[in-house]
Amino acid sequence: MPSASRVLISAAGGGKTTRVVDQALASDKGVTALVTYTRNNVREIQIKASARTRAIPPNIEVISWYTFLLRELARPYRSAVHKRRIEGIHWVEGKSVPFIPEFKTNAHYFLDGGRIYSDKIAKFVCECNRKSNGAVMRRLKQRFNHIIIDEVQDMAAYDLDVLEMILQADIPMTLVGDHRQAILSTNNSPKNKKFSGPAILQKFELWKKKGLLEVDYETHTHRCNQEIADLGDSFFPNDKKTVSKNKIITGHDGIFLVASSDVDEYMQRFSPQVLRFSVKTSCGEHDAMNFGEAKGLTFPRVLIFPHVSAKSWLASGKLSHVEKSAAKMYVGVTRARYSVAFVYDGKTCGISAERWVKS
Amino acid sequence: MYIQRVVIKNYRCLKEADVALNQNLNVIVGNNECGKSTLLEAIHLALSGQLNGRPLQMELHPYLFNAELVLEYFVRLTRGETPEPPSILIELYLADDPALSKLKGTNNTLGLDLPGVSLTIKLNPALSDEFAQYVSDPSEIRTVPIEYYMHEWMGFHETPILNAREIPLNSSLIDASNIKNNAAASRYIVDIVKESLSAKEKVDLALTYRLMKHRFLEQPKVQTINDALAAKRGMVSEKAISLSLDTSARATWEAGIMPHLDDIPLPLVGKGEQNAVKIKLAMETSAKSHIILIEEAENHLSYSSLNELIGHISENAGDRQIFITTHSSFVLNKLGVESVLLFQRGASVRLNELQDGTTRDYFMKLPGHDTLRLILSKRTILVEGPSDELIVQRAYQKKHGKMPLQDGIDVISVNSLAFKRFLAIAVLLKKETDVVTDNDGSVDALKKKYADYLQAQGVSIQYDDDEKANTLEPQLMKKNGLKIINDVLEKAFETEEDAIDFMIKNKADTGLRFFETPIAWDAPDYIARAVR
Repeated sequence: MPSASRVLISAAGGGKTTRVVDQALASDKGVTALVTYTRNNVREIQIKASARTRAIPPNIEVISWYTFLLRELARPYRSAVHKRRIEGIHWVEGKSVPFIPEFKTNAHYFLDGGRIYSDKIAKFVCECNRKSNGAVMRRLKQRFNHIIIDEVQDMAAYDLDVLEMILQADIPMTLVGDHRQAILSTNNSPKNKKFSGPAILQKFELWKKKGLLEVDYETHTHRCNQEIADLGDSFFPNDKKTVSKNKIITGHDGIFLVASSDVDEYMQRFSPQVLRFSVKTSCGEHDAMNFGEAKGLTFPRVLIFPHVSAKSWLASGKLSHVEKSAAKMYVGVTRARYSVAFVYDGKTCGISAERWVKS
Repeated sequence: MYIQRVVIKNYRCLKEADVALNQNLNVIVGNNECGKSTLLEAIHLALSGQLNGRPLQMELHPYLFNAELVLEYFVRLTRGETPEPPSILIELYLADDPALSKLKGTNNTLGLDLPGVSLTIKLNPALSDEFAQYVSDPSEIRTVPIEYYMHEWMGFHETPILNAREIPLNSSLIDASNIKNNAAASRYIVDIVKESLSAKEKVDLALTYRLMKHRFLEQPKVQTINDALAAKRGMVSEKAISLSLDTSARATWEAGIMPHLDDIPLPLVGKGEQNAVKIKLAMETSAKSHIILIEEAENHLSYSSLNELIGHISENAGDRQIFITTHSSFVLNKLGVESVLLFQRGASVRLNELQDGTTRDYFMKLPGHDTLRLILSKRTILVEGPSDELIVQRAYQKKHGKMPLQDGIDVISVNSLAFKRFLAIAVLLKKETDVVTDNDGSVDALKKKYADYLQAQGVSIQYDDDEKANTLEPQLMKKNGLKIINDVLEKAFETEEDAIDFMIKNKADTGLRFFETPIAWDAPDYIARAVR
């Protein structure tokens, strides 16, 4: 029997958010949860939805992943694991209290007994469901007719176990995301480490094998033109190729190399958004944005100041140089509609790009 | 969607209450001051967050706390102990309906996996230091210092409820006695009417009302007056004075409109009719309401109006959950004994929950009056027939100088087969009950019959061990001797047997003679024990 749940892998610029919103609005049976990773995403979805209908209908609840975990999964049956009410989430970078063992429930999961560590909440949910004999999932099934999870590639560690639990509880779920943009991670625990980043795709395939969901690919992009889409694809040579639906010709389209001495002139001519791998890359006087920050955004043109390994990649065309930063590189280049330019003075160039010269 | 069960702790007179409810109709019966109204108030509070029509935080006052608890708290403080500060809890356990699943969880005192709402009024942890300071000299304090308190309103999923609309159950509380002045009464009606109007109708009303106010100014006569006033500039103020009507947001149509009944302004209509209208209106408009709470429907109503009103309530109930408190056996009978909830200071019994089917059926068929008597009395003495009843009544009066009913003690004459049925309820209600019964010549048979109740808390089976004196008449003889019996009966029987024979053949008459006679007689010991 085909599963009611599916994961939709969509290329950058494929209109994921729009599709997610449309799908939620189309359903009039029961309550649909639209879960997304960050609060900014929640806001973005609310804006999209408001643009389509006057107000978000009451049967659609737009919530962030952590609010979803806390309110819908952790609190209702917390008494199975923990004595006190969970007041809120305590945000931690990295691992919380790494030396306190699991059996010391209170200290392992909680700061002062009331605030749950952000990296442990998903684990707590799994534990609650187990100890309450599945009451957490039974409630969730009554509560929502359909759960849509946006930016699913950002899930990691116990988050994936929670998703699997929901799938196994037979609650119809739509996961939407792009494993190639897996650059943020909700969770820093070692659990499910081998599925972190773009490797999350393997988890989806595993779920498919277990009959928990279908995997669909959406391979077209409305944003990038074909050359940019191809460059993005080149970071993931084993994945399905993207087809561009952007046929607009501006006269300066595709991939370019700009000598550092020409940057000012180039900026003046095309006013691209300046992007970089991280703050460590100097971009001179220009206002730059990190690849990570640019996620979800669209610009007509971008100018990238490559970091050291990206320079090596430009010179040789060998992917091994950017293997670890493939997802971020993918996000960086696929922000642009018409043109992507790299600031590059090297003599050799291993990728297909045109050198831009002042005329 | 309905409320299955209510748990209350320390709210007003309800120190500990755990009440199971019927899905549709709940006729709440109990003595005055037993907490019936408090129960309704608590349910409404937990569903709406409102008390007396205002947000709880504004209505918090020390007397919301159970007086007994508060006293206990201060006594313990004075003794130098450190008791937990008083707090109030109201929990509503709802039916397990998917539409309510948002409120579902196990975070309730019973640990049940159900949707529900819990409201607590407790010490604000942020102010606990100041509170400790405040109570450091308990001799000066008599009430809970409410300024250090806060309330917490959550579902059983343990996430705060910010707005009553998050609870899909709506409730309307109809309490005619609570509305003290006429303005409040009409506002109350306007509020109910407002609920029944569509958004468009409301807008139309508001616009028309405002338009009407503007028209007022355009009237030539008003214009003339305003011109005249304008001429007086400088007499009162340097600015021009004119008359107008308040069209600010404050002066909305709700404030300016008075409901009329047959063209008579509502406040001028009789209290009873007002009450009936309120109840009917609420039933009518509460299509959105799931819970309707009605306080003493019989207030200010004549028998026939009450009849009509009760008919209306039962016909229009639909699948809503209705709560009615009443003192009227009529209301009870009309709405059906099966929906009765016997209530006494937090303890409650539903007749339809009686384990024994035959007992249940018995009470469902019994006129509401007898059921009410058992429920409302402080103590009950069950007797076997009218003559026993007269003897017991008189024996009580001889001993205490007044009739039992004056002490809240009801002597109820029941068919001997029904004793056990009454006892079933008495035990459930923890109602002190004496059974005065003949031994019928076999103490063993009697013990067997009442085996379940011989050890029961609060129940005493009163009988005599002497199997030869098998009924009331030989017992009276045994206690008083032939001379007194002859005197009371105004007869001259030769033998005790003849006298007993006469008494048995003229039971009712004998009872009446004993009741009325000025001659001193003693009650048999088992009766004396019952009238103690």
